[in-house]
Amino acid sequence: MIRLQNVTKYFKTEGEKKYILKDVSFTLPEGVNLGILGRNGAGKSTFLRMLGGIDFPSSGTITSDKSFSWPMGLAGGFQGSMTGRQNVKFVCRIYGKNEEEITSIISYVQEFAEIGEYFDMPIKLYSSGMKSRLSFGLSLAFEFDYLIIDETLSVGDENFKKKATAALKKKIESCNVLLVSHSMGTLKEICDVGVVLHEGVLHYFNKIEDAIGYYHTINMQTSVQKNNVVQSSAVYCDDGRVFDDINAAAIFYKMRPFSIIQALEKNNGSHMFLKKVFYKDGHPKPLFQKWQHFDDATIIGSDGVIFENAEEATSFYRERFINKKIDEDHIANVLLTEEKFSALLSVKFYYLSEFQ
Amino acid sequence: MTKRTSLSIFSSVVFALFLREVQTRFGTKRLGYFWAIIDPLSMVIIFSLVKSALADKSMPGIDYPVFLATGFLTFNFFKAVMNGSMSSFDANRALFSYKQVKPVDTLFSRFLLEFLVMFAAIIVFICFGMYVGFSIIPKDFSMVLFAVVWLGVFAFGIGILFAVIASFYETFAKIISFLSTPLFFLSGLLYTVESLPQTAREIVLYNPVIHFIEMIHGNYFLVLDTQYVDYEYMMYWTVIPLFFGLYFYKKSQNKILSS
Repeated sequence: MIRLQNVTKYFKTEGEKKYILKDVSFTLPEGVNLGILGRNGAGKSTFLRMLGGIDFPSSGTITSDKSFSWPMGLAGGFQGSMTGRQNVKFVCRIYGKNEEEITSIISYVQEFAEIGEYFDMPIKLYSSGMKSRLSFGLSLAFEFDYLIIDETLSVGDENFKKKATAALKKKIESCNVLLVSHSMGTLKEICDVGVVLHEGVLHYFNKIEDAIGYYHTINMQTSVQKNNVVQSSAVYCDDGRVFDDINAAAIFYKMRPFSIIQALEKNNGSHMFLKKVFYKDGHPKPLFQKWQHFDDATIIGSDGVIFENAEEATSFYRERFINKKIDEDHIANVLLTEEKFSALLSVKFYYLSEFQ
Repeated sequence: MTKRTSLSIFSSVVFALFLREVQTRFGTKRLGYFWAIIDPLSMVIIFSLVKSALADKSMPGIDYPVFLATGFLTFNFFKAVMNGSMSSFDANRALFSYKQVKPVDTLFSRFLLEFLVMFAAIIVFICFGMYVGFSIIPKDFSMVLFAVVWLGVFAFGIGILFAVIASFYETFAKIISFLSTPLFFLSGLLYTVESLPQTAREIVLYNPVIHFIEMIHGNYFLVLDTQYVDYEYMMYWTVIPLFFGLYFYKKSQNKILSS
C-alpha cells in the first residue's frame, strides 16, 4: 500500500511554479500493478520517482512500508569509468550483499545482459542498448515489493525485447510494478490499474483500459482547443505564400491541417514533412528547426502529422474516420510491413529518427 | 527483503562508495595517488632550495624539509577534504537514484579516502626522511596524532557546511577555491608564528588553520612550542561549522536529492 497525503509537487521555472501535483490525497491498494499516463511534461517520471522514495513532494507526505527498486533501465546510475562488473558489485554492496550473493548476482547479470567481454570494460564504451541490458538484468537480480519502470521496455533488438518481457512477466509473479510508458500495448499487458496525470490533478482508474481511454480524451481535447484558437488568422509560409487560414494551407500542400497546427504549436512553425516553416500573421519568420523531443517509437505520416507511437496514431485516425473501421493495431501492423504504407488511409509512415 | 538497520545501510553504502572512489581515482587521473606524494614532495624540495639559496639561517635545530613536510601533508589533506566536499554531491548525483545512497554518505567516503591517502603519504615521507637521514622523531607523538585527528574533524565540519552551501549557491565553490590560494601562505606552512612581526602575527592568528599547523609543529619539534595555539578558538571553529553543517544538511537533504 502506498499512501499520498495532501501531496503537492512543483518545479520553479523562471520564477513560475509549474505544478505536477496539487494537493493530492490518494491510496494505492495492495497488490496491483499501476500504469502511469500523462502528456509529455505532465510529470510522470517525477511522480514515479516520488513513489519510489528518491524524489520528494514540495509539501505533504508519501508513506509506504514496501521496498522499491531504483528506476529500472536506469543507465544514469552507472559510473562510466568503472567496468560493468565493478558497477554491479557496487550496487550489490550498497544493498549489503555478502560475497557469495555478489558472485551469484554477477553471474546472473552477466548471463542475462549478453554483452560478452564488454562486461569487463568501462561502461563509457557501451552503447545505450548495452547499458540498458546491463541495468535491466541488474534490477531483475534483486528482490523488491515494487519494480519501478520508466519507459525501458522498448530498448534493444526484438530478441532481447522478447527475453526482457518474458523475464519481467515472470518477475511480476512475485512483486508488483509501477510503470510509466507511452506504449498502450505494454500498459494493457502489464498493468491492472492506472492513473492519468493532467494539469496537477491525479485521476485514478480501477481498470487500465479506462485510464487509457481518459488519456486519449485529454489528448484530443487539447488538440481541438488549439485548433479553434489558430484557425482564425492568416498563415504565412517561408516559400513566400500566404493563406487565409490553416485549412487553405493544408489543402494547397496536401497535408493534414493538424500537421500544420502541430508545427505551429510544438515546433516553432517548422513542418517536418514539408521542410518548410509556417508562421502566423503578425509574427516574425522563425528559422527551420528539427523536431526536438522524439524517441525510437516516434513516427511521421506522409500527411505530415507526427505521433509519439503507433498507438497514438491509430487512435488519432480512428477518431477521424469512424466509418473506415480501422482496427486497434492498424498502424502497428503497417509499420511492420516493408512499405509502411496504409492503403486504408493512403498514408505512408516513417520513423522520425530515420526521416530526420 | 529483510529490513536492515540504518547503521548497517550507512556503513555498507559508505564502504561501497569508498571502494568506488578508490577505483575511479586511479582510473581517471593518470597520476592518481602518486599526486598525493608528488605534490608535497616537490613543494618541500622547492622551498628547501629557496631557503638554502637565500642562506636563511632561521629555525636552528630543525630540519627545514621535515618542517615543510609536516605542514604540507596535513594542509593538503584539509584542502582536499574542503574542496572535495563541495563537488561531492554533483559528482555522485547519478547514484542518488539508489534509495540507500544519501548525499552525506559521499562526504564520509571521500573523507575516509583523503584521510587514508594522507596516512599513506606520511608513511612514504617517513621512509624517505629516514633514508636521507633527517631527524624525524616527533617530540610528543600522541599530541601530534591528536592534532591531526582534530584537524580531520574540523575539516569534515567545514566540508559538510560548504557542501550544503555550494549545492544552493554555485559561485560559493569558486569563491572558496579562490581564497584557498592565499590560505596556503597564511597557514604557517613556511614559517612559525613566532618569527612574524607583532601585527602580522595578530592577523594570521584569525585563520583557524594556522592554529592546527602550529599545534602539529609545536608538538613535533623539540625547539618549538605551542604558545600561540588557541585551543578555545579551534574548538569554536570545529563545533560551530559542524553543528550548522549537520543542521542545514538535515533540513535540506530532500531538496538536495530532488534538485
